[in-house]
Parts: sequence; C-alpha cells; structure tokens
Amino acid sequence: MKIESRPILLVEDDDVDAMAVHRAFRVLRITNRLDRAENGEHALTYLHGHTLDPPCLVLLDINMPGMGGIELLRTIKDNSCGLRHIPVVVLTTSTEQQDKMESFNLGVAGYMKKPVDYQQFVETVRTIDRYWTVSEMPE
Amino acid sequence: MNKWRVETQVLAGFVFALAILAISGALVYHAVNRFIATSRAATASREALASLDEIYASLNEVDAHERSYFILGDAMDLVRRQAAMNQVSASLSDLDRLLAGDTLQQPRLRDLSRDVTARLHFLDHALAAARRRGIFPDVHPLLAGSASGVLMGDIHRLVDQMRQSETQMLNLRRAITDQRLRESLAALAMLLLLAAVFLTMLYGGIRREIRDRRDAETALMMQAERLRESEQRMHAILDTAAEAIIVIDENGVVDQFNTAAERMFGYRPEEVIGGSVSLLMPAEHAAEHADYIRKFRKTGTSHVVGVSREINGRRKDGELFPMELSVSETRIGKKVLFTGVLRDISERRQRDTDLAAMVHELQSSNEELKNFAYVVSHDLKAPLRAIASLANWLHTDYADRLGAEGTEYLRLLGGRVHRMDQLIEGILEYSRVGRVKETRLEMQLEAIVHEVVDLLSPLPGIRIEIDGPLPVLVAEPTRMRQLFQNLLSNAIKFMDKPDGLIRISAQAVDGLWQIRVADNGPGIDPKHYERVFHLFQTLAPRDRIEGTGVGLALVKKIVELHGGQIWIESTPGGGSTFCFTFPRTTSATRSQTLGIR
Repeated sequence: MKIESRPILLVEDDDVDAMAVHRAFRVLRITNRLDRAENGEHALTYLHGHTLDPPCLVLLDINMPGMGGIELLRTIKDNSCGLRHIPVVVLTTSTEQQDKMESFNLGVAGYMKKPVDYQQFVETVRTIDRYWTVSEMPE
Repeated sequence: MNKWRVETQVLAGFVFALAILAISGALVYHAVNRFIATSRAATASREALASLDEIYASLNEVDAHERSYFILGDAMDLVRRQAAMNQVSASLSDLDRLLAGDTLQQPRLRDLSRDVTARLHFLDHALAAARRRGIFPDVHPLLAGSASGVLMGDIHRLVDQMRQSETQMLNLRRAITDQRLRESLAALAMLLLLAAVFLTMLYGGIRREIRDRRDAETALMMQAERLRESEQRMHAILDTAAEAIIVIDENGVVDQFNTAAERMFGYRPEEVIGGSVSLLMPAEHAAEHADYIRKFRKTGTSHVVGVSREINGRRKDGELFPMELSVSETRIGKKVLFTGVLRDISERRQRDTDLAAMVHELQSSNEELKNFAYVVSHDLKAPLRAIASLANWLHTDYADRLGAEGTEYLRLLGGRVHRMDQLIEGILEYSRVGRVKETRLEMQLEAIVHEVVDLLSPLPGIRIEIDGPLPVLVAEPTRMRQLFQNLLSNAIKFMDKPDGLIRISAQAVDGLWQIRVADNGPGIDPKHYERVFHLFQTLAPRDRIEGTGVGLALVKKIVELHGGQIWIESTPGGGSTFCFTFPRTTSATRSQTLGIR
C-alpha cells in the first residue's frame, strides 16, 4: 500500500473470509495493520473512534447481519461524517447488478468478487494491493 | 275506411232494390187497375147486351099479354102486361146507366128509348080504345097495323144495331182485358222475379257475410290460441331462464317477474307485479332510479339501456347483494317496456376476491421463490468458499502430515467444491433470467454469433459455419449471448468426431423466425428430448464431462421469455439440431432497464 503506517479496515462477518484476507495479507507481505469490524454498526463505531488514526482503505462486504455494506456506504458518504474521502473497495460474493450499481453510485473505489478458490482470492487481494500501491491516497 | 265503403255499397244496393221493387209494384198496381177497369167495362157491355135482350123480350111480352087480354079478356094478362112494361122501363134505365159516356150508343139509346116509349104509348092507346069499344077483335087490326109493325121493326133494327155494336165492344173489351191480364201477370211475374233476385242476392250477401264473420272469428280464435300459446311459451322461457328477468314499464311499475327473480329476491310475483321496482333496490339506489325514470320520461333517452352494470339489489329479507344488470328497451306502440336481465354475482364477487387473494399469494410466493433462489445461492457461497479456503490451507499447511491419500482427498474435496460453485452459479444465472430485465434491442444475430464463437475459441477440429443470412432480432443482448454460448459450447463439449461441424441457419416459418443450430455430434436419444431442458439434468456423468445441467434449461427459459419455443431434432449417432422460434418483431419492446422486479 502507498501508505503503510495507516491501518486497513476489513468489514466482514465471515470468520473464514476474514482469515482468508489475513492470510492473503501475510502471503503478500502487506504490512498495514488489518482491523476488522463484523458489521456496519461496528465499522461506524470503529471509524468514529479512530478519527485521529483513520484507515487508509476500507474493504467492505455487502451482505452482513445487521447493518449491511450498502447501508454503511450511505452513512459514510453522508456529508456530516467527514469520512467520505476514505477509499472503499467492495469485496463481496454478490454479483447482482443492483449491488454493483448502488455501490458505484455511492462512490466506491472498486468492486471485487470473492472467488471461491483461495488461490484466486489471493490474486484478488494482490490486485487490490498493487493498485493501491500505485494509486495516490488521501492523507 | 273500407268498412264504410262496404256499408255504403250495401245501403245503395238496398235503396236501388227498393226503388226497383217500388217501381215494379207501381207498374203491377197500374196494370191491375187497368185490368179491373177494362174487366168492368166488359161486364158492363155484357149487362148492356142482356138489357137490350130484356127490352126487346119484355116489349114482345107486353104485346103478347095485351093480345091475350084482347082475346081472352083475362085481367091477369093486364097485370102481367104491366109487369113487363115495368121491366122494359127498368131495363132502359139500366141501359142508360151502362152506356153512360158511350158516344156511339147514346144517340141510338135515345132513339130506342123514344121508339119504345112510342110503342108503349101505342099499346096503351090500343088498350084504352079496346076498353071503350069493348069489342076485342076490332082491335086486332090495330095491333097488326102497319104503324105497329113499322115501330116494332125499327125497334128490332135498333136493338140489333146496338147489340152488334155492344158485342163488338164486348169482344174488344174482352181482348183488352186479356191483354191487361197478361200485362198484369207479366208485371207481377217481373216483380216476383226481381224480388226473388234481390232475395237471392240478399241471401248470398248474408251468407257471405256470415261466412266471412265465421272465418274472421275462426281466425281470431286461432290468433288468440296462438297468442295464448306464445304467452305460455314466453312464460316458460321466462321461468326457466337462469337469469332473473324483470320487466317494468316507463313508470317503474313491475310487469313481469320470473321464477329466477323470485328465487333471487325472495318475493312472490304477486307481491311485486303492479308495484314499484324500487322495492328491489337499496334505498339510495331507489331514489337514483326514480330520477332515471323521470329523466327518461322527460327526454326519452336512457343511459342504462344496452350497457351492463354492476349494482346492488335488495332481497325481501333486506339483504343487499351485488348483481349484474343489463337493460333493454321495447316499444309497443306508445308504451315503453324495460326488460332487465339480472345475475346474482355474489358468488362471482367472492370468487374474484378469492382469486385476487390467490394471485396475491402466488405473486408473493413467486417473489419469495425468486429471492429464495438468489439468497440460497448467495448464502451457500460463503460456507462453500470457507470449505474451499480451509481445504486449501490444510493442503498447504499440513501437506507433510496428510500423506498422498490425504492430499488426494483434499484434491477431490476441492473439485466437488468447484462443481458446487458452478451449480450455484448456474442457479443464479437461471434465476436471473426473467428476474433481471434488460432493455430489448434490435441486434444482428450474425454479430452475436461471431462474438460468441470468438469467446469460445473452439479447437481446430471443430468448424462453425453460418448458413445463409441470419435475421435481425429484438431481444435482450446478454440473454442472446448466453443462449448461443450454451448451445454452441454444448455442441463443442459433446463433439465426438475429429471433424466437427456446427451449422447455424435461420428461415422464416409462419411469421416466426426458425433458428437452427445443427451439429454432427453423437445425437440425442428421443426419450431424452424433454429431459435435457430440465434444470440440473445431465446425460453424461459429471465426472466425465463437466456440466451443471443448467445450460439448456437456461436456453429454454430465454427462448420462452422472448415468446418462442425450442425443440430437438436428432438421430442418435447422426448429430442433433436444436431448433427454436423467435417472433419477427421489428419494434423493440421496452422494459425497465436492469431493474429487479
């Protein structure tokens, strides 16, 4: 990642998926701290609690119990929060057109499908890392 | 009009007949009168002849009695002589009466009268002289004297002349009388004949009249019978009709109320007929109906006639129920009748409500099913991915401890996970068709086919040919791509010959496009024609040829979504042809863009 000092927030309800991301980070030697929130509410709490140390990137699942990804995006992109500048990459199982359209309408930086195959999963994470190593990020 | 003329004709005929009869009667009367007159005249002539004979005879008698007296001196002869003289006078006066007005005979009668009187004087004189002398024989010469003879000769001549005249007259009169009698008889006969003719005509007329009347009566009776019959039939029809039929007049008064109406409303016909139809309506509608009737009577036009409406009716027990009413108007002369046909639609309403509820239920369950397919597939994916990841990590992290067998198991596990992932993807894809709508566009089918062929990049041993021009279709582009991708990849996947050939062609059949994808592969047993289109049905074991059994189900769904049909023509070993039809529409049927319904 371009900025290695800042954490990456993973919003993911599935433990194995979270483990897969962790493992991929380890395999790919991504040094950023990976924090995890289990759903939208937790993510909001985390973001509000880390205003001095905000994540440089949010990896967001769409289907979660409680507040889902789309709802969280709506809240984040709401003017009052001051969180709009944080890039969000959706990492989800859903390939529904509606989810994709809503996500991009709400200004996500990317939309990635979680492959069933772990090797492909790692490749997906590698792509994200490569992109955000090259791409500029807001400080 | 006609009747008046007939009556006039009859009257005129009667007047004419009466006139004719009157004239004939007058003629008869006249003829009879003339007959009587001439007949009297004839009688008078006969009497006159008798009187003439009497005069002559009596005169001779006077003479004879006088002579007898002279000879015998018998006083009785004088008495007889006097009687005969009286007879002569009487006969003369009779004759005078009988010949009154006879200009020919009157002078003769006067002469006769004079001669007779002279003769009688002479005889009186002779008698007187004889009495004076008393010698009777002396008188004889006197009596037989020439003067006496001359006188008697004159009288005889006169009487003879008169007799001849009178006889002539009598004969003439007799002829006239006969003539008159014949005339009278003829007139009478004519009268009788005319009367007979008129009576016959009258009889004929009356007979005809009676016959006409009888015919008219019979016709009337038959008509009445027919009328009664038709009325009975109408009642039978009315009463056996399934629909309630109510006839009202222009004042809203019930005229007919059939059995079905009786059943529907619970009223007996006699309770309703003659009363207002508003009895059968809820109060608010009754007022409205009265308005209708008033408006109709004012304008003569009706809004209700000819249209079917759904309104509420009221049963005898006060229960309101929905009914369908259609009204027709009948004009009989100046009278207007409205026939209302009513159907109780409570049950239909109930059915409609039930149906709507069922449709709603079905819709929601269908919606649920769609969502179910989506949610299930989606939610199955997360654990599947976890299994795949964990299997991979086991393989990676614990390879040394698993041994060859354990590694093989994990490989098999990975394969099954992959297959399950494909199945779920298939379900998702299948459920997306029809659920996710795409804008239908006009597209070159040939371009689509080329695109798909490029994507599939078949092995060098398989040729894909486009046979003839392919049409322009209006369809969802993604679905069309899926359709050809599945058909072509199937043909490629199952190809069992080194020189595979797949031909795509299209032709117009019965207003539809018939598109054929034919291969020279193994072909399909006819018993599987239906099955291959079912979801998750595969003909080959999945371990040999990887397939989810979704492809052809998806193809069928896409074809049917666009209003077509799909079927297989195949001979085992000789290849198979997938045929499907497509509507030849030119304008795009727009639907919502990429929306989930």
